[in-house]
Amino acid sequence: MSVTQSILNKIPKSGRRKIKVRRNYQYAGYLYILPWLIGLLIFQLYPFISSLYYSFTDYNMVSAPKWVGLDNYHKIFTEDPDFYQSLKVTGIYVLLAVPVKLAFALFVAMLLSAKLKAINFFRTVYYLPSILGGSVAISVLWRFLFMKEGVVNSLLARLHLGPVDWLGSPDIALYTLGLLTVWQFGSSMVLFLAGIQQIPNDLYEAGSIDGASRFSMFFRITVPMLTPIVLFNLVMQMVNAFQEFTGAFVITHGGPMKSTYLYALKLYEEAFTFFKMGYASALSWILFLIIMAVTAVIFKSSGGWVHYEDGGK
Amino acid sequence: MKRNKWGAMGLASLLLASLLGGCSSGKSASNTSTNAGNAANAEEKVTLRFSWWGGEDRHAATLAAIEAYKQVAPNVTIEAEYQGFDGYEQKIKTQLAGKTSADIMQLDLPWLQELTKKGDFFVDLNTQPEFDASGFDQGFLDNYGMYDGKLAAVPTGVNAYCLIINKSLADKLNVDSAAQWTWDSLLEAGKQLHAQDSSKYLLLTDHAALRQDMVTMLKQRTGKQWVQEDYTLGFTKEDAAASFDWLYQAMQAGVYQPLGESDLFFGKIDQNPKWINQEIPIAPSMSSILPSLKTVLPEGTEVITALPVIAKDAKDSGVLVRPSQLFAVSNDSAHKTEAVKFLSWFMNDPGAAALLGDVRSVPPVKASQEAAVTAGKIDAAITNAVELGLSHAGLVDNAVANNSEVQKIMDDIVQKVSYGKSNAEQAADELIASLTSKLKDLQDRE
Repeated sequence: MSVTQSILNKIPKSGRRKIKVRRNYQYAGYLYILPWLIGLLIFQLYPFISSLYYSFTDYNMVSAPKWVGLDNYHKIFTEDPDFYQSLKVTGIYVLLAVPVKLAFALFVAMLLSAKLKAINFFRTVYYLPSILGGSVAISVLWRFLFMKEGVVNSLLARLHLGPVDWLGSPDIALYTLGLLTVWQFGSSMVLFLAGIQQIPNDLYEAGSIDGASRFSMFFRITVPMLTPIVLFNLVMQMVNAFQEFTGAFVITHGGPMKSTYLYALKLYEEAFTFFKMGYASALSWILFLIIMAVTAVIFKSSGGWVHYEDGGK
Repeated sequence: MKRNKWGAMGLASLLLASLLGGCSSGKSASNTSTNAGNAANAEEKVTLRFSWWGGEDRHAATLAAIEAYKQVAPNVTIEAEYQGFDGYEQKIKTQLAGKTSADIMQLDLPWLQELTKKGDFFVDLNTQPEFDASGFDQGFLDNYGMYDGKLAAVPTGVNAYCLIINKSLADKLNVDSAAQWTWDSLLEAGKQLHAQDSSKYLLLTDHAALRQDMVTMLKQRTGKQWVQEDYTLGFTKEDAAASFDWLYQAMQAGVYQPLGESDLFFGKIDQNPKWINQEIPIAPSMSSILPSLKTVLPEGTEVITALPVIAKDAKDSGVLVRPSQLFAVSNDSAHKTEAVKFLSWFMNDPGAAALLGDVRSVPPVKASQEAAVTAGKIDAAITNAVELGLSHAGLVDNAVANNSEVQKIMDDIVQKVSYGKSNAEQAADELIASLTSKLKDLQDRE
């Protein structure tokens, strides 16, 4: 503000009217984003706040909500073993799927940063899975790929391996679903790719003059320079992974034996099968707080491992 | 790259807020029917929405009937909203709550029982002069369509639990397709078949069918509903343990395909490759499923039906006879009269019946049944299943036994037993403990 003020003071009085006119243009700016703003208020902020209210009620969407105070939260923590099961499954899922996905995205980004003739074609091809992504159709495809008599097992059989019960075994099913997420590495990959191309070439030149191997250049130049993007990807993918739903819903229905009973599935079931909207709202607020907490931890820790060229100032 | 810690935090939390907000809002903004006024006169253009679930054959037949209705009422356009079973329940319930449901909708019995308790969603068809209910069996309507003295819905067909048998395959595998099974003989035959050839299983299933088997077994042992209308249990620990013990043995012996494989096709057992590739000869299921199970088999495959398993000393047959589904007209419909007129035509018109045939099992209206039979559109196997069912019909399921939260408890325990993670004793204990607390919870919420 002080900067603006000092600039304003330097402008002769006759020029100040022009500034006012510019301010009016700013209001026009708000007018332009009004459709988005209305959307935000009605479709996001309003449901967000009302879900907080509903979380303190018993509400079946048909009769009026009945205030029950902290009852829903109390029941979730003390009387609902499925809550803990779904938390456990989701925790494992996030811890596994997110790092693997980021590592894979980085790996592909490294490959695609090579200067080849048809590189744009390859980049498009590798981005395709992310467009098809979390859709129902792909989930159905996943089922046919990984079912006991599916494509993957018949390929394995040719190598005299398997069959593996990818989706039917309570010990494996969650990892198979994790693969579906990892497969959608495209958006992280694009960001890594952009980051890699931003790294100044002279760093690598200096490295190679000093006799650094490609391996150590990757870990000592590329990775540190990419950490801001790692941070962004990590947070975004973590938030998404906590809310993962489609694959588990379409392919396994949370089974076998609740081994893929992700939190979002539990939430959905309470809301749309049992019609316990108040209870489900409470569940969604607990998830919100968990995600906020994990995000805060990641940001807090980022000072220790994220490298900024300008020192983060 | 610069960073602004608090800015980023703020942005991240806003993003979270919007993601979660979007997640919990749920209500979909779907199209409402054209609102041209309530009184529908003959000349007025009216658009009605009609939603149902089913397989390909049901979709095709229903669409053909809708097409035929254009001749009957040229001013009425019917928009079809159809899909598979998966997710339909959630869609319908959400639409009803959000007052965006179709004008005419197909419902499953348990949802209807639940929904009529929670609100006044459906038109009382008895008050509608346009609706002709005279062809229905009054007892069937009273048992399944009447709630609080109102005719909230009508049965789409008469559906009976039966064994659907791929006879061509059964003959090849030396499985007796004419047998009247008991639980013991079924277990024995299944064990033998799987021992002969480990790729073969006697019975096609998913967790819902296993739940049905367990409930049937309890009914046969006790002669009572497993969960009573007054929120008490109709069975003892011994009854439950005996039933789970049978299931445990059957799973271990390979009578059923492992649940991990079969349950990938939950609600769509006709898509199970083991059935399609003719490695499983018998599907215990509702008769309405027969057409979709039959169409996936090669032409010329003989598919018959038989009475489901009845224990020798059964106190109740446990044979389930119920509406395939039910049709209801939404109370929020802008064109109730037109919607009721269409439904009445759909259920009673001989031409419609000839188009629809057995896609919702045997039509509940006598005249429609005859028309469909004359048109050669009813599979004799389905008629057989329904006749067997009607002559052996067991207890009528009550709303509490059909409650989705109650059923989920049985589903979970059935899975534990099927995967060998619980033995019969543990499962019985868990069933009783979980049900007792859930029933209390449900009663409190009433």
